[in-house]
Amino acid sequence: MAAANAETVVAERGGTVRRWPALAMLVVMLLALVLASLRLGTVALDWGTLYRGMVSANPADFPVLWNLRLPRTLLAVVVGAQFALSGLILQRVIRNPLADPGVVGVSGGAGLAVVILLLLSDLLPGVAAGVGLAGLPWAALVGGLMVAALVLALAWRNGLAPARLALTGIAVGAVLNAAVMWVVVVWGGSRTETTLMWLAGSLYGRDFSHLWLLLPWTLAGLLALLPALKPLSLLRFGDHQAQTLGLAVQRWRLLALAVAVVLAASAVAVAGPMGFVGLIVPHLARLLARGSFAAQVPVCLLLGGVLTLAADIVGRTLASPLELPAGALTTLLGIPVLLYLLIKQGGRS
Amino acid sequence: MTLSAERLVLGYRGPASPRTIVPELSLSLSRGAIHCLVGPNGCGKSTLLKALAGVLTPLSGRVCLEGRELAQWGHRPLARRLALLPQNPEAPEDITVRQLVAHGRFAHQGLFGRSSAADRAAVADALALTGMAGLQNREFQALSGGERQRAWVALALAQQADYLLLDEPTTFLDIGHQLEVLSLLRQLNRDRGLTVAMVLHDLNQASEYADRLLVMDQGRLQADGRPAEVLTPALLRRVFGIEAAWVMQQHDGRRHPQMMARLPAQERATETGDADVFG
Repeated sequence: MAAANAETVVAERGGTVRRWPALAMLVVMLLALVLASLRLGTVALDWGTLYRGMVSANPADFPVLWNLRLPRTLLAVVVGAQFALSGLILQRVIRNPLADPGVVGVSGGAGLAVVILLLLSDLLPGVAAGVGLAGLPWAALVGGLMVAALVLALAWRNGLAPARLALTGIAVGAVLNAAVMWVVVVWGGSRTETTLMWLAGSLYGRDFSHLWLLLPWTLAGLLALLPALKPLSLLRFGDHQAQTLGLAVQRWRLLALAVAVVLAASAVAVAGPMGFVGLIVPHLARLLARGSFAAQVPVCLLLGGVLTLAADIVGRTLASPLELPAGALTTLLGIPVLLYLLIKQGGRS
Repeated sequence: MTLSAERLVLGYRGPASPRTIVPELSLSLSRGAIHCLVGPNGCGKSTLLKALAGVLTPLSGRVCLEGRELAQWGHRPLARRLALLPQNPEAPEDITVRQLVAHGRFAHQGLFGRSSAADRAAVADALALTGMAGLQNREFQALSGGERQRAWVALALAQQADYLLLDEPTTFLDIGHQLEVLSLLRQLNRDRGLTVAMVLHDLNQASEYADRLLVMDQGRLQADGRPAEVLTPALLRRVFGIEAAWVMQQHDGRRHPQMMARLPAQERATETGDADVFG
């Protein structure tokens, strides 16, 4: 519905024809991966068990499915979709093809908050015991939002200039990453493994509580995106031109950034940073739905979900019973894809 | 009631003190006329055009459209009346000509509005007028310089504003495409009563196409009037530092003024002096 609305600004026949098969293909891929994700793992479920478990009136009889597989699968899809969409928005708003959720300081802020919380729970067992692991997502969310706000404030000077924002974000991110490494190396102690697993981006041990924490932000982000679809299309032009085309440039740039930050910070909070999803998925989406920003949104959501879920499935089956963090796999996969895209684009222009 | 500037002071706020580019300037555009802004590099003509378009906030003074200050118009109502083609417009990647031009309808549609018959007609009209209809499904990045400039003009036309401001619309174009763009603007001005104000560098073209020529130097309006009255040898010497004379040329059964220009005698002497040293 959203896509149809904003298409009016950038209606293109050629794009629509190619877009629907791509969307249908992505939906089929996502469904197949969801089924695979529910079945595969340390304890494999056969089709019969899976079906009985899904329709059962008593979910407690199927703990593996309902407590582990289902929340983890849904979470992978939502988290991946959010990173991808956040990256798409940031690349448009900052007008830089290398922008991703890391560039506004979200990952760095969330990472620092998490290592500090883990450190505190070691140093002050009495105080932090109550917070513990359940408090991690909240700490990460607050940390991510605060640092993103700091980056925006530092970059603000009579409005946001894209280049200044990108440079500020990279500088702040570098400082935070150094701080995170310093805390881990100097004070890591017994929590180093948990910390590294979180910093790599993983869905291990996530349950419905994480999903419930995430979903309000997902909905808020998507709802706020609807009125911003056309403005985001116009923000791809220069500031002066966007303004004389009728857009309140600074207001919409700030709103779009806020949506990107909320989507990325809440996703980082529950899963850690999924490397490169926010960077490469928008590029792939642009290949599938050229030109129209609104058309790229659904492609981005689906593709982000597909990629992250696939990475999670591979991560937990490849070396089972060991777990590879999904974020490490998306990074591993992301770098060659990024290089390929760069070479391909380089050849064209 | 038109687009007017009252005691306008323009500049950029620096870290210490604002850098003033236009000290004080008042101006009122003539409705339905073609205005050409000329002047040496750095004289403030682009700055003035930006202020007239409302994208540069004046340090003091105000720009009004029909008596109402631009800032009070609201972005979309203003965009329905006034369009700007900046000097170096940035195009989104992977966008077709038609998609590009369709963005001109934002001011008419709003955030959730769907494309109406009027929108589609305006886009088709803009594409047809600029001769871009045949190229509408081509990717913008694949176009030649002349085609790109015509696509940008089409985008501005799709806005259906009655004031069109253009910053050096002929730069980077060969002579054929330059005349094409200028003739199109004149045709729109004559047929549809569009008020045009543009920055131009070529004085011959400016005097050929302008109903009203505005000459700027060091942020001040040095002359304002019909080209033939304005571009006197004295003014050209003062503003551009050139010795110039107008020669009437017979062409197509019409007499065209043609400017013959050269550097003043003293500077020529220095040049030949240099040549002598090397010779």
